[in-house]
Amino acid sequence: MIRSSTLAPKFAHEVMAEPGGEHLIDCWSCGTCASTCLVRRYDPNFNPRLILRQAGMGMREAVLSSAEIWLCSACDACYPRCPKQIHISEVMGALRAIAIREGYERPGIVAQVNVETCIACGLCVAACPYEALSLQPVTLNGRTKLAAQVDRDRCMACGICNSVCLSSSISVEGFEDRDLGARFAAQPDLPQAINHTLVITCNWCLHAEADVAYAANPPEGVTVVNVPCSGRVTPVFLTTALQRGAHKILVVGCKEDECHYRHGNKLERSRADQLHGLLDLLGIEPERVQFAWLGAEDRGVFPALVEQCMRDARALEAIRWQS
Amino acid sequence: MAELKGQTSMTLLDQLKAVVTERLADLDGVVALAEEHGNLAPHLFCAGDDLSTLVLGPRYPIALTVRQLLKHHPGARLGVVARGCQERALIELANWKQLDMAQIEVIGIPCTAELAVDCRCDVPYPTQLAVGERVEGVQNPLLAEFQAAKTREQRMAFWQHQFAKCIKCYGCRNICPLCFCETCAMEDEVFVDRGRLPVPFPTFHLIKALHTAGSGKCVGCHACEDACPADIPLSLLYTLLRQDLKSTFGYDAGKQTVGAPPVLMGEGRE
Repeated sequence: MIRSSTLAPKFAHEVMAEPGGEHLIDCWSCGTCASTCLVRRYDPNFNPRLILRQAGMGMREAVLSSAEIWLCSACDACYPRCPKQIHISEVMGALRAIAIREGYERPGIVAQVNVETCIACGLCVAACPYEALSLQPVTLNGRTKLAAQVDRDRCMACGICNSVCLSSSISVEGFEDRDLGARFAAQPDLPQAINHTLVITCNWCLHAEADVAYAANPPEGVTVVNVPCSGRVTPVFLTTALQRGAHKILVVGCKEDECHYRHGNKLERSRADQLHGLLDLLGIEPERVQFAWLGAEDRGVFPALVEQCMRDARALEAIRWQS
Repeated sequence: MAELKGQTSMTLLDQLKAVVTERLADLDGVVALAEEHGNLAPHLFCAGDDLSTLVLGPRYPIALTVRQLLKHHPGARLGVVARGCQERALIELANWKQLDMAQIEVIGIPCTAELAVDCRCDVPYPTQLAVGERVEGVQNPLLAEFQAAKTREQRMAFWQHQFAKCIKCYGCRNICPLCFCETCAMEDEVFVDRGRLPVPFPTFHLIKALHTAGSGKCVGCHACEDACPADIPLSLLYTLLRQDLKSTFGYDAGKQTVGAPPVLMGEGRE
């Protein structure tokens, strides 16, 4: 029960005075945003309609201290659908800015930089969908150098920074290449490998519970490795997986325009083309590495896709690189 | 490597020395190649120095040396005697935030026709020449030979043969002017098995290819191929990757100044 004595009646105005929060009270709580929200499909605790309503009502403490205001990934699926044209991700940004001033910070993991090995090239800064990275001076062993720094209030832990970094200097805990490699339990040497299929899925591309359940319990001969975003997957990792015995690899990401992290899938699509060209150049069948981009209307597609990949894996012989 | 012979190249050298002497009046130093006791190495000449050891070539990837010098002398302004490839390397290093082109004055020198053929170079000249004249570039003849290998099996056989010669000396990586990472993925056991020769799969080579040519770093200087003791035609692989980046994203490493390294995604592909 909400006690009116706990409400902060000026909170709505406080939010509206914050850049991004100007249109808070335009919201008429229709719930279109909540029904569209890609985060909500994965985590029912996240309800943008509810957050805006609570903020509008003055539930200041509840909103600012919540973990939920940090979950919006600014994919902006809701924005074009909002009948009042509220840029909801901007409202979330306004709420976060106020929360930060109140001493709250983003819960959960963020990317971490190894400042010793970072060579401050700026590629992660350019690639980050959330402008959560910048190059800052750090002092190490008495000398000052530039290194990437993570703004933890902006970082969405997507791992795109990790994927572009050429010096292995930035990563999200639990999703480094060695972690992903360890989850791939194929035989290390060719040609003793069984005809193994490696499937890499992003967190957001499987929209049906049955598909998620299938991924959690795949058939024998299939390993499923989960990453936050398909953009986390590098061509070098895929090549290594081929080396370690995967006969067939399937990378599943979100459909175009539906990337949960703005442009992760766009980056991955470009890498897919480059890798296919490179494999073909070397005389390796490009179809050994397949990419699929799934949307909400692709419910139920995943198991059939994996089963086709398993058939492909059986048909593809081990890559006889060493003659 | 082709050596520069004859009267013409002596005149060119004298012209270069005159330019260097003149520029040393304004610059904190000039980086050029020096030959002492038969050894060739980059040398920082300062005002008043004897220029008798200064030589035109053969070529040398001086870009990373310049980067180190500038790191140790912030605020210095250095002249750099550079061929086309090294100027492109400097420009690309600046794109990757490893040096500031405002601290560099390129003193451009041309390559000879013999050098261009030796390097299979299509751009054997810098953007501006301080001395000498441009010669036309050449197409990599290995490109035609490789493109003649029509079937997948032929292509695989070609590269299998080439990579089987690799002894993992890391020469290609060490000499590359755009390889400046302090921790190198080619040495990461997550991707590459230590001490395993011949390589069971070309991941070792693919890392180098993807991280340089595939990432918009490779400027086509061919130093890697020169350094390779096994004569592996690395430049062939990298040329094809570079052509792809140029045609898909319009990115030609070393030919344009950008504010940040390229994030290669989007529009071009479909």
